Amino acid sequence: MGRYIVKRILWLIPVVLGVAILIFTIMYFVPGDPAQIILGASATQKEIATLRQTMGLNDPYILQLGRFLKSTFLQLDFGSSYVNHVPVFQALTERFPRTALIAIVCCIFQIVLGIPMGIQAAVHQNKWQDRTLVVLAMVGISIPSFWLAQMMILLFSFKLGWLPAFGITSWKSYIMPCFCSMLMGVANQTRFTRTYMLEQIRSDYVVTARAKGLGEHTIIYKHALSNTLIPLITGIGGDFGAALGGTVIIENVFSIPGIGQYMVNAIGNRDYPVVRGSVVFLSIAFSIIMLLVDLGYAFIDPRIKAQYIAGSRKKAKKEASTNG
Amino acid sequence: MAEPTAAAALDKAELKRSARAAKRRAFREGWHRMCRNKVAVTGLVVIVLLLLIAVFAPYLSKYKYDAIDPLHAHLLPCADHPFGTDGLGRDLLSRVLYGTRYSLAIAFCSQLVGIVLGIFLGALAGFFEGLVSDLIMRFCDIFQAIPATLMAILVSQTLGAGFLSTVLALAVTTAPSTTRIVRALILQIRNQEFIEAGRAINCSNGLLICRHILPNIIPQVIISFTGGLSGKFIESAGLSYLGLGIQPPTPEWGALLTDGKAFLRYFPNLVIVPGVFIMVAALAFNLVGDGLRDALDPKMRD
Amino acid sequence: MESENREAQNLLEVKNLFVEYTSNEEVVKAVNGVSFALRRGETLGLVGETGAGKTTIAKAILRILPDPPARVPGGEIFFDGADLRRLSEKEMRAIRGRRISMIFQDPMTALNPVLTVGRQIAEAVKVHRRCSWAQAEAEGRKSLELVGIPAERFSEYPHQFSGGMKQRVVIAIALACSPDLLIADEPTTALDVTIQAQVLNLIYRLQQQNRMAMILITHDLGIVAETCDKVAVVYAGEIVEYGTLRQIFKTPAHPYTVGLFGAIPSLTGDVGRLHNIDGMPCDPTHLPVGCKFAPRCRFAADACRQKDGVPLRDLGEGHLCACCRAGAAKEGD
Repeated sequence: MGRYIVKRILWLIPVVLGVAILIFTIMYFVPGDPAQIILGASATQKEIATLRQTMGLNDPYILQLGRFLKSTFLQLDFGSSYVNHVPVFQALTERFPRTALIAIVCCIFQIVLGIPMGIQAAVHQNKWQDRTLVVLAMVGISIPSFWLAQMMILLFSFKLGWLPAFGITSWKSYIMPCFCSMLMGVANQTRFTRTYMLEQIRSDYVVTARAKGLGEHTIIYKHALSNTLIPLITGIGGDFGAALGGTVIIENVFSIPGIGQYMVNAIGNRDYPVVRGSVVFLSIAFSIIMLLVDLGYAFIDPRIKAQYIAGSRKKAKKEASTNG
Repeated sequence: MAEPTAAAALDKAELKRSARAAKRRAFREGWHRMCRNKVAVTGLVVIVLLLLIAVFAPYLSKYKYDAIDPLHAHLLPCADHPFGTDGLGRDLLSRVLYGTRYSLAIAFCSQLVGIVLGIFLGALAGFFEGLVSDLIMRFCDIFQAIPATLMAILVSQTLGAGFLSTVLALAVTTAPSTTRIVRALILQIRNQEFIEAGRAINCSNGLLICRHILPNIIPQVIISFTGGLSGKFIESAGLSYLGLGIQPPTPEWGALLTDGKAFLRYFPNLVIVPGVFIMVAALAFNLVGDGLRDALDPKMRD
Repeated sequence: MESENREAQNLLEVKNLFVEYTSNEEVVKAVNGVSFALRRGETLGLVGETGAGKTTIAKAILRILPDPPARVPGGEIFFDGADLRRLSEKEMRAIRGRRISMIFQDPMTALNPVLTVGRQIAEAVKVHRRCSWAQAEAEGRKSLELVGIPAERFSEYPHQFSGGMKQRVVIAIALACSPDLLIADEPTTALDVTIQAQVLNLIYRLQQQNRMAMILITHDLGIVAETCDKVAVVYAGEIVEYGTLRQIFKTPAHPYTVGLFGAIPSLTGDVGRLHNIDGMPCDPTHLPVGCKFAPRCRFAADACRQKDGVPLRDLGEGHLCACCRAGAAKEGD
């Protein structure tokens, strides 16, 4: 078991490095001269040239990449904003809790709402519960979350005045952003849970369980659900990533001071260290969550667990089991 | 000697004919199954409607989509302008109808490029084991470690706003997952016995790929294509909202949303209408995608 | 006297059972008027080709047919005097696993992969006896030993067992509560030939020990010969021939039964060619009018294609045959 954990953690390193290199490379080709952006429109050619030299912008790609990797990973220096010279890393750590909060609430509701609804749909297949839930889920995955956000602001803030539309004034400020973020995730989760449950309900071991005289409740929640949870849990990691991505846009609609808003403002200002740093930061967060999900998955699925039990016990069992 | 070969040739032709007939029957069966699914058919009808709108857009409303009319700016829906007008007096109905062209085009093109790229890479990874396969899969891992929206934002920013860059930005988010699916399928098919049989009678690699492997991945490819299409409408609108992607004055639905976002409070029609169109298009493609999947994937049958 | 009477009474009586599957506007008539009876301790072999309806009959007895596509439009199933079709679901659950058990064909998928083997056996005990988990587990360990698996393997998962051992676990689960009737649906078909014999012997031994009645579903006549007291030959959802082992094997009357025996290669004697049965099994969505075997039968006459079909005739001493030209097959050979 320990070997699997270590192996999986070690695997994180090349992925994170690869992500950083990929992001750096993509942004390397962004049009515009950073030196010019920093100094502004009134700068002279000479000033720009000097700044380019100081920033090392004339060095070959490999050197710049090396410098980027070194400062990012060894010094936790993600650069500073072109606009206000605040270190990016500092701003990111300040803003991350708000973004993470929305993403985590999303995931929690996916589990708490999506999975039970999917189970109900599967258990009552083709009856009214199933049809209603499937239709609702379909609509849920078809609504653009930021548009829904605007519709909700229209109704709950402008027309009814119940909830604040912009910024963080109280815990109420999080209600609409969380709801809009979680809608697609919950709808997707309902659909996936329904699909997997239907598959499990039709499998042979369920027939065996019925022939044993077990009640429907035990069969669904003890037998079928434990098998369904396995692919669902692997999905939850990916859902967190999608939630992070979705939060970026939602934060903009609600002007929530999280990483999303930080990043999008930077796009408009061509403040590239901010954009780059934000994406690297969020990608690393995502990778860590995926790692935790993978590890959790190994604990739940006994087939994976067994693969990593000490070799000698495995060999002994193998000998015993081949004797029919 | 001539007689046996003539007979053999006849048999071969007969076999080919019956094989093709069987394939046609299978497709027809799938199609019939799909037609029985009323919900999917509704989606299909909506898609056809959207396509018609896209083609005949200029003839469908009396205003041109880019006709500026400052005197009639910011009108709420009325008899003359069923959806109202925007800040420059342009009729929203015409703009939304004309925007159908751009939205459909972006969605289709980006999904197509993404899938084709995915098939190419997935086939490479599936067919050639070893270093090539490993490299491609590691690339996919790294690409997928970046949340899709962020990746689209990154690529879009580098390439700038505009049609082509948006298509590429969105295609890049589809390609990795398609690569995985195609690779898994190909690995599965490769190991099946009919491929062994093909090799045993000395089929060339090219023949194996074209005649045997590719046709078997078509159903899954169709399912992936239609399934991901609906998301493209929403993603491209999202990019426009952030200032990337397609920008005004192009009447793409996402750009229309961007145009209208400042006026949410007093002229909500500018935001409501394009959003509804996006939602309807996404829903239609989702319904059709699900219907196709139910019809083509034997496992889903009851 | 009382116990003798109980012995003489039938444990299981199936009367005129009909089962159909409805899917996509097509109706599959899987079982068409099947009747048979079984006494305590007796073994009945249900023989027939794949798709003949044998498994459907078995699942209909236990009422575990998949409910939306499957329907039971008619028939009675008496078990120990009570009509199983009239029982409530709760009463039925008390019977499943406790008085009637079933083992299935494919051991690889019959067990839940994420629960331990022991847990799955103990579950069968706990749901029927009012006892604690600890007691149920103790019973479970005993069951494992009974089927020849060391009790230490109680906490292992199904994937850690081979096919043959998995089937033993399935048997342990089925017999955990000592049922009166065991339905074994092709229990050895998915196993290696060498393991088949072991598992069959195990089932037979346990049956003798527990005095269980058994319905053995199989398409292998060799297995029937070794274990069954009575045989019912099933074709297209109907019993076409029924009798004691001796009657069926020594004097098969229905052309289909004769065909089945004729298709077995013989170790003694010179056989030039195996006689296979012409034609294909009939399409259950479009059953032929009259005798369902007529399209493939060498001896079919006009009388065979009559609309009302051919009823079972008693050829003497309880040997039933649904053929109006019974005996023609034997002579024609």
